[in-house]
Amino acid sequence: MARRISVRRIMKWTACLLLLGIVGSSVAQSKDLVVDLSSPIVRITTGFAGADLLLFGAKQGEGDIIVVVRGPWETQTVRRKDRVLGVWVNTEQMVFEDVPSYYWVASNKPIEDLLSFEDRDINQIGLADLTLTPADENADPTKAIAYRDALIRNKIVSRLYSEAPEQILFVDDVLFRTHVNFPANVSVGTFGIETYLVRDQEIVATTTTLLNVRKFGIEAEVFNFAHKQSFLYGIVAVIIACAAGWLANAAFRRR
Amino acid sequence: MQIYLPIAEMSVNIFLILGMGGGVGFLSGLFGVGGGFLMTPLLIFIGIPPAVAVATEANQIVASSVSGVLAHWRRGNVDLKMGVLLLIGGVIGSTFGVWLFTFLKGLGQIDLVIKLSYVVFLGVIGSLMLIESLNAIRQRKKRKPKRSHSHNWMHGLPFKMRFRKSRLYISAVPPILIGIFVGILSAIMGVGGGFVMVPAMIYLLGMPTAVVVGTSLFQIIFVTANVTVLQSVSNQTVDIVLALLLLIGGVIGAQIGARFGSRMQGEHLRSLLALIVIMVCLKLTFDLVVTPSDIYSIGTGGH
Repeated sequence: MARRISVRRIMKWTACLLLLGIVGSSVAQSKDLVVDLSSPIVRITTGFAGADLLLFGAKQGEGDIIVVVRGPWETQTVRRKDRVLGVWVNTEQMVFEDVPSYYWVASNKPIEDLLSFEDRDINQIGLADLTLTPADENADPTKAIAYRDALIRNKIVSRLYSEAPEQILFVDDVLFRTHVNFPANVSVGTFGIETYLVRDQEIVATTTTLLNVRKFGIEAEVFNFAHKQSFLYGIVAVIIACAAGWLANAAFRRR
Repeated sequence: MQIYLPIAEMSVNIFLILGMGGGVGFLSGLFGVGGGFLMTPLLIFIGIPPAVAVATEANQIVASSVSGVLAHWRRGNVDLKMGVLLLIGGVIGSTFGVWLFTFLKGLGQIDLVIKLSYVVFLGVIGSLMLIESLNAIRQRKKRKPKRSHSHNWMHGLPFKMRFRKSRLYISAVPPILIGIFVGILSAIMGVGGGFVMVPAMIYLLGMPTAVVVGTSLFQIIFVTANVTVLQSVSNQTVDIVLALLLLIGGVIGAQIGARFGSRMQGEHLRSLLALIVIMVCLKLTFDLVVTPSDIYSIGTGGH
C-alpha cells in the first residue's frame, strides 16, 4: 500500500512540476512536448462497454514519440493449474505487488528501434521489459519469470495490456495523435500517461498527463452501497426480490 | 445493447441475460423446478465470475420462491411446522456454507468447488431422474398402488413431533439435518436446493406429495435470503442489476412454461429435464478435464 501511494505521489508531483513548467515557460523541456486527451476522465456508466480516447500533442524539432499509459497499481495473484485426478486444479500461486492493472504503449516506430534496452528498462517502456517482482523475496527466480510472463499473457488476453507500435500518427512535423482504448473490464483509479520525445536513441523530453477512470451515476451508487454498507445492501436485495416475486404472482393471478 | 454490471464489473448484452432468464424461467415453469441449478452454470458459461453467479442467483431465487409459494399457501399446501424445522437447519447450514465459501475463495479454490459440486449433483440427479422417468414410461400401464413410507431407523430418533398437515409423527432431527445439508448446497452452489429437498421429503420423511413443493419453497425463501445477506456482507458478490434482469426474464418465462407444462405428460417432462441436467453436467465436466488454454490464471488481491 505504501509503495502504491508513493508511485502515485511521484506521478502527481511530476504532473505539478510540468504544469509549473508550462506556466512559467522557464523549463525548456516542456515547450518541446505538449500532450492532451480528448477527455481527462473516463466515466463508467450503465451503458459502458469500453472507451476510446483521442490522445494528441505537439512536439518541437526532430524526434519520435512513445506514449505509455499505466495504472492503477494493484496486487495480483497468479495461480497455476495442474492436473489432479484428471481435473485441472489451482495448485500453486505467486503474489505480485504494484502491478499496473492497465498498461498500453504506443509509438510511431517499433520501440526496440527507438531506445536502448537500458532506457526501456529504466523507464519501464514496453511489455518485454516490464518489471514485476513477486511479493515473496525468496521466490525461486526461474518460477518468478514463468509467473511474470503468465501475468502479462493473461493481461494481454483480457485486453488490459497492449502494445501498439506504429500507432502514433504524425499529422505534420509538429502534430501527432493516437487512440487509447480502455476495455469494459478496466479498473477504476488514476492512470498516468507519459509521453517521450526520442531523438537519436535519447529521451530528450517527457511529459505526464493524468487520467481518471471512475464509476458514475447508478453504477457508482450500487457499487459503493454494496461495499460500504454491505449488510444493508443484502437486506435491500432481499426486499427487492420479495417485492418482485409478490408482484409477479399478483400480476399473473388475475387471469 | 450492452449493460455494465456494477458488481460483476463487466459489460454484458442485456438481451442475452433477459433471454437466459426467460429460457430458464420457461424450463422451471414447465418442469416445476427452481432453475437455480441451471442458471448458475449458465452464468458461469457466459463469463460471470462464479462467486458473483452463486450469490446473485441466490438473490433471484428469493423472488421466484416468493412468487411460487403464494399459490401453494392459498391452497393450504405449506406445512408451516415442518417448514420452520427445515428452515432452522437451513439457516445453520447456509451460514456455515457462506463461511466455507469465503474460506475457499481465499484459498483460490472456490471456482473449482462450485464446478465440482455441480458435476456431482447434476450427474447424480440427472441420471436418477432419467432412469426413474424411463421406467415410469415403460411401466405406465401396470401402475403399482402407492406404498406409504416404511418404518425405518428414523423412527427411533428422539424429539418426536406431530406434523398435522403432513400427517406424520416423526423426530425433529431428520428435517433439521436435511435443512442443514440443503443450506450448505444453497450457499456454495447458488441453488434453492429443491431438487435435493423434495426427494428427501418424500422418500426419507414420507411427506405427502401435495405439501412437499409448497413447504420446500417456503424454506427456500428464507435460506436464500440468508445466503444473499451473508454473501453480500462477506464477499460483496450480489449483483442487484444482474438479479433484476434475470428476474424479469424468469417471471415471464415461468408463466409461459407453466402453461406448456400442463399439456405434457409428467414422465416425458421428467426425462426431458433429466437430459438437460445431464448435458449441463457434461459441459462442466468437459471444462474441468480438458487442458486449459493457459494453465496460469490471474486474480486481483493476494495473501
